[in-house]
Amino acid sequence: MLSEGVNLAPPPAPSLAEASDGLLARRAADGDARAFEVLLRRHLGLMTAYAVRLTSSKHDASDAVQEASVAIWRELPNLTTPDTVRGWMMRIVSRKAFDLMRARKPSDDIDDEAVSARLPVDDHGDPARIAQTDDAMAGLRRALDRLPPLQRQSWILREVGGESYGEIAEHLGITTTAARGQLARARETLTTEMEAWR
Amino acid sequence: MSDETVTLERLADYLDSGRIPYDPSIEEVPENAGQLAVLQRLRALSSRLVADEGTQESLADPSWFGGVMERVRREARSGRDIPLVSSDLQSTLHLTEGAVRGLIREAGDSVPGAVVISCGLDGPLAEPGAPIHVEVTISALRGIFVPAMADEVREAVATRLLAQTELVVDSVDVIVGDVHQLGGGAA
Amino acid sequence: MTDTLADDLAAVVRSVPGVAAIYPRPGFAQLARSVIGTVTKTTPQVAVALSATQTRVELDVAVGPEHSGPAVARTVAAAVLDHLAARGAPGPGVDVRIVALG
Repeated sequence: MLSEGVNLAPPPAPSLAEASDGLLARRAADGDARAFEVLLRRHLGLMTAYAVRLTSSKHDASDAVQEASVAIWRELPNLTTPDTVRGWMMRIVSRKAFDLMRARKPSDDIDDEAVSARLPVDDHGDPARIAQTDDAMAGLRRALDRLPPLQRQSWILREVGGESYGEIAEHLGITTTAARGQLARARETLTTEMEAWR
Repeated sequence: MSDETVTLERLADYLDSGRIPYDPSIEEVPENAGQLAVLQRLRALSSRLVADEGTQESLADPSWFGGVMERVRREARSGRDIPLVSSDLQSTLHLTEGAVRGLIREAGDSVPGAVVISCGLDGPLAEPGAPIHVEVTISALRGIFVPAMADEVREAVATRLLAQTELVVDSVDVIVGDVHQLGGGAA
Repeated sequence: MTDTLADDLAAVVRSVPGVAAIYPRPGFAQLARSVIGTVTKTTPQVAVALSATQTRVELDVAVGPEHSGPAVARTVAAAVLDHLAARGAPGPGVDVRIVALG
């Protein structure tokens, strides 16, 4: 033990764990795998949850996020706005999620319905309790699970991923007008349901 | 639906624009303002829903993470090849530019108050003994006396390069790219 | 023979002071194909390509703190060549690349 009054070591440099996303992104773009690892760990939960919502499958989400992670590492040197790296990472996650779903096309719809049906449904629909935020979240979760896949995916891409109509159309393999239509229907259903919770 | 009611799509576009410019036909018609509030709450809830699910995701198991990092390592940005002089014909020896950059980052990070953002090596790396120029961009801890810290970074980088590589370093430039606070990223 | 040779070489290289980790060189398979009639073996660490007349060893090394990259590279190369000589391997050659400096 050092006694008091001894000239202790200077304060440590902030570790990478405390560094901003932007700094980590620039370090990783420069080739620092450790900075990349810190950045990835920081956002992995969100990336995974986003992919689960898009694919309706934990397994597919895990694969999509793995592919996305490697793509993020590869493409980081081209990112011109490192401070917006989180949104950019999320867009790569959605791209990889849809690549994966396209590659598994034939049974897509069946799987989707099946997984939706298996998702835990919280059924204590007492209107008085549903006024609380937690219950509103449960209500939203149920409502999202009931949406047809295209509507649900459009909604998540738009409202969670912040993607444009054009990007959504590309992911879903439909026209921009059709993407607007899917979103309009999702919005209609969700606002109607939400009014019922109030 | 009254004549003054606007479509949800228009309300969504209005929200997207950050409610600018102010639209009285939305904000001042109770029915529209009500729907706008619902839409806004839905958006906030949707983001929160996924964020909450994210915190509940069991953080990837070590083998998943190990798999990702292994692929990252295989795609390491090793940069240019720096040949090393070898005393026999049976050995080919080299050092990657990526290894040197890693050393520079570590040297810079070791100086209190400095975090390296990026670095560059300028010069004919393929010619053993040719002088090269090093540029290090750092983020400085807010409140630190920058000139002294920059000197320390320059010194640390030059010392490590001398001790652990055979590069002939002509000069080390330190650029302060931004300022950060402890626990709070860039300021 | 390549099996145990690669494993033995990995042990030899690991025992060199300053070696923090060993990796097989990405893209080694391509080089192995250029050595005619090779039997190749890549352990998780060391890649060896062997023919009747040539023995090629390639590896990437991470060097630990306070060690000179070039000095460690030379010691590793010498240790590999010594081992190949002791085994009587034909046409020995070694390529050492330092990929990280601690």
